[in-house]
Amino acid sequence: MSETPADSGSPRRTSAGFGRVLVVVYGVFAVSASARALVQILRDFDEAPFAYALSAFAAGVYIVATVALARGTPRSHRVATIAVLIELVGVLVVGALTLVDPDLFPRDTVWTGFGRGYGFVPLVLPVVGLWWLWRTRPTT
Amino acid sequence: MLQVACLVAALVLGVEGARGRAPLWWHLGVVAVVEALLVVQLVVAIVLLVQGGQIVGSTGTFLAYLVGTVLALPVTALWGLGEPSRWTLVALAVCCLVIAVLVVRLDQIWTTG
Repeated sequence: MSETPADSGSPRRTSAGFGRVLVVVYGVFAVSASARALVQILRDFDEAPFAYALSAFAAGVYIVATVALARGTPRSHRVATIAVLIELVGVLVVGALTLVDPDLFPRDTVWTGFGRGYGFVPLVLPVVGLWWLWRTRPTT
Repeated sequence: MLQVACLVAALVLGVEGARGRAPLWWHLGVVAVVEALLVVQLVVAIVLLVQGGQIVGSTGTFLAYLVGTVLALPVTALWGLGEPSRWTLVALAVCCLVIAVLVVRLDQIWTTG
């Protein structure tokens, strides 16, 4: 039960310290978004193919982000940064589109209304993720 | 009631983590108690279903949430204890919060759909 790099103020790996918590939150979204997309696509894909395809895409982004953050190598740091950026753009664009033109997405996705169905965590999460990735950026 | 237990556990573990505590045995005891309650919920729900209980909402979603509530804490504990620190406790607290939400949703799916 020793001190972690995060406790001493200079974390090196994305999976260390606070990163443990971040990976859990990303994992929750990876699992729940995947399950949701699977149920939607298996049950009635034809009803809202665009919205359901977006659900699957979002699930994929969360899975990549979770694995990349958990690995914590310099290379996975880059992968995680790209995934979290896509996530941020996704939640902002889809959030805005669902407000402007609700008919575009007749079924809800994780990113609908900036993630209001999930307590707006999908909106806050990429910001926290980018902050963490910045703090743990490779120095070499 | 179960969601209250989850919230209490989240509060206790979250406060301990915020105080900078590393995981102690009694913290894992709290997690074990919550997990035991979740297993009881799983068994009761399955028994009710087998006996012909009717779910108003989606059965698939109900079962997915049910399994999720039981798996979440062991997975988080294994992951968090890979590097024991205050953040292990915060991660477990977050997990308990998520489970509390899932328990509420389970009740909603069962009763109102």
